[in-house]
Amino acid sequence: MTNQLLLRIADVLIGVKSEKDFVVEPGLNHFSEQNSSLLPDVNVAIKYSVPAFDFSGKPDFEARNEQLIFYRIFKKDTGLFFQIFSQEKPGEIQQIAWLDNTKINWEIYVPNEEMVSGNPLKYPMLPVMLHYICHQFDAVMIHASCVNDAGKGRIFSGFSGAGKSTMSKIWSDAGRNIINDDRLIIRKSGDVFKVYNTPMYYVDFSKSVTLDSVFLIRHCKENQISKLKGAVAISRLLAFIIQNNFDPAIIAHNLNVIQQISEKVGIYDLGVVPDKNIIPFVLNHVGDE
Amino acid sequence: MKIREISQLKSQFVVREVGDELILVPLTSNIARMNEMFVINEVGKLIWESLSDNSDIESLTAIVLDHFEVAEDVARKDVEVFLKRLEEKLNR
Repeated sequence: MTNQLLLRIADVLIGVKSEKDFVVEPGLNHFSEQNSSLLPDVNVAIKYSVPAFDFSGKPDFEARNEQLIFYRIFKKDTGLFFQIFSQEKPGEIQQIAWLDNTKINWEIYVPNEEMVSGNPLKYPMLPVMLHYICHQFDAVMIHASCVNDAGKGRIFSGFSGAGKSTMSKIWSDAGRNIINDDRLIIRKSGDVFKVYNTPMYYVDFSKSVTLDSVFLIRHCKENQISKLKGAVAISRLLAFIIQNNFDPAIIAHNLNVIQQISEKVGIYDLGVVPDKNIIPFVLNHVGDE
Repeated sequence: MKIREISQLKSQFVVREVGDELILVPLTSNIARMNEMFVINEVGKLIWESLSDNSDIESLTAIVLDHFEVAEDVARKDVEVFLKRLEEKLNR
């Protein structure tokens, strides 16, 4: 239990201070920054009350599927206001959050402590925060898997069921380390882009690797690869970025980062037969024009 | 949907120029439409950039003919197909 915490996620320092002691999910254990004297890049204040925010009118954005609402966003003059919904009790608000116009100061309100089991960053609060943190740091968050292939980060992304996790397992079985097989942050770091894992519900170490190549995968009867270029490469990759497209500035940011990625590393369309032969196939073709 | 209505909805897209092509990403208030961006080639780019409240098929066809060596019926068809595709995106 603690009432403050300094997290390092994708090399962004997130300082969390709470009115009360709190717990975090085990997945955050290895994302704590030990040097507590460092100044945070992003500030998060946890409060245990119901703020008098105005949530009237239609939300500017709603993240939901047929069964559940994940969160709603309301854009106001003083910043973005979030209603975060419980995934166990559909329709019930779990957290209320305010991101001010500096985009680095968060206030998270927990109306009912039982709802979060002592964890004010309970899902989906933390991924929502990370999504907006990305906008401040030349970064994007993507649904994808990534392996560390001798210092070269190889990302595999695609639609649901395309085989992202299968690909990372094939490469893992061949001795490569998995960065993550679900959610990653790609962030510009000097002249390169680095790929980072993000905290999940399970325990994992904080990991990163320099991005070398991106493969947009699909099942195929035989292995096929072609390098994507220009607008097609950017639009194909953009489809897998985690994004809230209600704000032109957010879209412009994502397009800008993706364009820079496409100019730096190869983006490939990859038809896959999911077995170990995909590894030599990819390695023989990467870098080909 | 009339051309004037299509023109007035141009602000509902964020546009990125990449070489001779444009990426159009629609603004949306829900997750379902977030991946509906599309890429248009240099002919589509010219039509998009020329599209205004006062445009009609004739004026857009004339602009395409001024910039590309194509037959008039081909240019007209390109304009009509592009506007229809745009309308489909806007109507979703």
